[in-house]
Amino acid sequence: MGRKIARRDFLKYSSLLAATPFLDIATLRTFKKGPPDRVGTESVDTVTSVCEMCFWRCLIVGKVKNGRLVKLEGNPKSPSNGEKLCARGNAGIQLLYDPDRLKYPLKRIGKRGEGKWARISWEEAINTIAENMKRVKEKYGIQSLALFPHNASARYIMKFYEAIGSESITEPSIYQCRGNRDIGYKLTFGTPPGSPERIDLANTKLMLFHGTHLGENVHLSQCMEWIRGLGNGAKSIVVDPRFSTAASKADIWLGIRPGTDTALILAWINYLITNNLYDRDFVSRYCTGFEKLKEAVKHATLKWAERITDITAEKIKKAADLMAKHMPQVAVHPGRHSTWYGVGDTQRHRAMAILTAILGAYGKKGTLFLETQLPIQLGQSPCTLETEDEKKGELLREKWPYNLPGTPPSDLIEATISGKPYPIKAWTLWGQNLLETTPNPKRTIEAIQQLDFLLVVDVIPTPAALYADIILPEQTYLERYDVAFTYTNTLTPYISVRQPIVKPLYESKDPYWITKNIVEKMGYKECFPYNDIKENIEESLAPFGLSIEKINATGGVVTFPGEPYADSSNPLKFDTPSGKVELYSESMKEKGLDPVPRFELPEQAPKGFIRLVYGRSPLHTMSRTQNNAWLHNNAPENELWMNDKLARQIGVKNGEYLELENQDGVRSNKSIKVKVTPGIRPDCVFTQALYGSPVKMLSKAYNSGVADNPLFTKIIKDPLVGTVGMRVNFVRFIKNGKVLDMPEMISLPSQLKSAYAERREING
Amino acid sequence: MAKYGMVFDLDKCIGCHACVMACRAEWELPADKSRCWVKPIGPENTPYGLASTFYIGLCNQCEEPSCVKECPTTATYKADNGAVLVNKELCIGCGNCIIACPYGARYINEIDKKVDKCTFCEGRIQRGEQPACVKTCPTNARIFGDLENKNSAVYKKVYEEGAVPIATARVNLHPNVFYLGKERDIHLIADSYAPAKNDVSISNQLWRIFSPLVVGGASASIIAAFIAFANQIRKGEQTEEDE
Repeated sequence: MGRKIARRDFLKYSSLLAATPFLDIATLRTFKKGPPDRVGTESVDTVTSVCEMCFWRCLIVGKVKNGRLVKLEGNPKSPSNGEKLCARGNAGIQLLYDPDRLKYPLKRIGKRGEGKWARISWEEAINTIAENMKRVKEKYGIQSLALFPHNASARYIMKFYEAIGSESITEPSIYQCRGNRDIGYKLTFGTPPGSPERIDLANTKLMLFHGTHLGENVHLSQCMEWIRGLGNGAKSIVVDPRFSTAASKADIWLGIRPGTDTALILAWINYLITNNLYDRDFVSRYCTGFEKLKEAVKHATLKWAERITDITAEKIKKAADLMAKHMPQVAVHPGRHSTWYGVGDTQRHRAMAILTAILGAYGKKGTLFLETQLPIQLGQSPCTLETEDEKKGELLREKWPYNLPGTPPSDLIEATISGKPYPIKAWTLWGQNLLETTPNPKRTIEAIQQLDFLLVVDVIPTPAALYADIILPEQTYLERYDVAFTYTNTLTPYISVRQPIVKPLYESKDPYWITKNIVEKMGYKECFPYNDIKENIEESLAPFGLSIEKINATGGVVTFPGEPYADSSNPLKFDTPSGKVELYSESMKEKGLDPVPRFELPEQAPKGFIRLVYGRSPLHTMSRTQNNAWLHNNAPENELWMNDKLARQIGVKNGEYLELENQDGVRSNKSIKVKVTPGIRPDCVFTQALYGSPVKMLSKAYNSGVADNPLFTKIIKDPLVGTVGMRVNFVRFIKNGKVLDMPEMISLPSQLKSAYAERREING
Repeated sequence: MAKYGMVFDLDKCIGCHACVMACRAEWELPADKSRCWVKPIGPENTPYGLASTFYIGLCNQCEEPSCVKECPTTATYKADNGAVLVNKELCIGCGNCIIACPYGARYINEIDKKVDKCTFCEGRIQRGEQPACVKTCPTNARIFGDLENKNSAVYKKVYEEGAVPIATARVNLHPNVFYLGKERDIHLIADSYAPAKNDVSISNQLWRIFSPLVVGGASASIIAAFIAFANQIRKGEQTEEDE
């Protein structure tokens, strides 16, 4: 979406940039002063870079004293985070100096999973990897080489896998996170909502948070905009079974029955249409299928939704009236992590997109805004290989109506076990903690045991690293060049570059060096033509008339004029089959799918169990920060939120520890501390995700808190995309070795119950 | 001379802990210590409805600080700018002030064995910078400034918008740190973290003063303790205004 910036404007702008370096150096000098009572009086050097404590990519300034990183701060030049950083960003120093880091290339000498290693040279490591990958490829074919990448550093190896024609690439960070949402929005608006989501919270009149617990997930600039928006007087509605941080700041909290979100959204859509409270102008000009939508949702009355969602009709109406009042300045947050229930995940986000459309809340100030296209895509290493003309045959991902890039992770895991439709014999996990990101880790381990070869490249030893044949130590984001990043999903677009703040520690290497060496040893000499990673980045920047030096001269960032809002020179365009916003999707109908989302009740708790839902701690980025000393010390273990009435009934007190056991008999790694609160519904319990690492080498994270992922053994896939729902697992509590009786606190309405029982019978 | 104070806007705090980490980095503190804190409270029912908030805090830089009175060596003092500071040269690490502070704002830094606390970022503020926690706070929930300057943001928050200190009728040391927020959130904090008076007993005082002699035996601390004790006797009650 959005108009491209004219090349002329761009050149004008870059020449302006060239004239300003002195100003910026003067500003940067202010960073050089240290506090007076610091040990020593050495001057402090500053380097700008890009954070990687999570995926948000805030701009940072590192302060270095005698070669040691002493402080990380937000880069005041950043149009997004400015001088601000979250706890994790501030604590990045502790990743760099983590004594448990991977330091040298390692070779497995024990059994897989045993954790016995021998230090080897880089030369031996590269030779072993190249030999094994080549052997597997020659014996089993290109598809037998699978890659599980994560983060920017894996981009180089991804390029190589793409170039040789492997489709066995999967990013759980997309598939098991925001993939469904992206497809749901793409089917409606023709484009996903982006990362960061292009949601104009700072300038809106009403925010709707449905499927995001902003605040507990510190997506930094978005949190800043959310609070700024509230400060400007915006109202907010939060839909969550739990009284989250966002709910505590909201005007309306809707404590919804888990799994019934689509019913609520359909009722809103129906109410707004029936009462003529929708944006008629936007709908008639830009949308298609309105009448069919109207017909398809007319069953979704407020009363119908009340029964299903357990929210009173009055409250549902109040929220809808608030939307109508502020329309179109309504920021309907598209959500992010969307693999909840398997069934209906993509359709839920499509329903949210439809709601956004009928409110006209698109392409305007205070709504879901437009991406600004930069004049040129950053160049990448070309990596054009003459791939062997191998017949691919049926590809795993082709069984799904809609695809994200690559193959669903659980499909790759199952194919590795079964060898069908093709053998998968060598895995590379690059910065990807597969055993903690993808449900049912036991099954993943079974797959790993089938492999001829497993390579893990990471910064700290993940659980999967315990099974690796070779582990390679990668440099942390504070020690390496990486890539240049473009930010186009922001009101002001910009470019920045990740670069080393300090010299690399131990024998860690950068991703370009590692990839180039492996690939060249395999015989692919032409894939990575540059001498080093820096040269590669310079080549990627050159088309912009930019260089690392120029970016540094302007304070580590180069900004461009943004065009987030539609106007006569920047008209709305929709990359859908009809060229319009598809309220009713003919293309989905052709595939035999619901052209308008339909509510389907997801998996319900068996008798004696309760649904386990999960979220984030603001101090952690899932599993990867658990061993960070500073973050760990302030959030060492997770807790289980339990409704106070439920707790009273089963005799559990605040602060008590309970073991968990799921519906398949899997027990938690240890007991979890209970937080008794009226701030959660009695039909679910909540915990912060991805605690309790099984890796003994991680001295802080090991067995600290309870791991939720091993309790997710039930696999229910979204029939549209093949992603796996993670909120369809249920637990019961064990206290002093005794199973506690679980009362049914809120029962389903009888119609829903019978419909659900019927479906279970049909589906088995 | 300015009189510095801080206001926490609870409506803006999201409990992210950036302040805690920035403080730890800025002052190169031990990995498990910080001069400020974030404590989640709730969700709980209050007379004003269901509430959940964060008790964010640091040294209240009280007008009538109990810690200053209890310091046997005059190491702890009230500076002209309103901050309560510790002269590390004089501090013997006895811990009296830790007991005396009803907010838990002090601790022994195991690196130098001296008491450590928030200084409102002494040094940074002299250079015209914001304290490290304020600078990093993503949502601007922390507002720092001069309580005597009618144009300052803190003045407005305290004297016009009604920010309140965490104090009770029984324990009111007249904090210079104030809280602004929904009634239900203020209620939660006042209910859970109301200051309680902790008296430092005379025997405890004596023991803590002389313990370095008995236990440590290091000549430096013997001399420091001796000088400090002599100082205290010489200065009597007028320790607060010195330095």
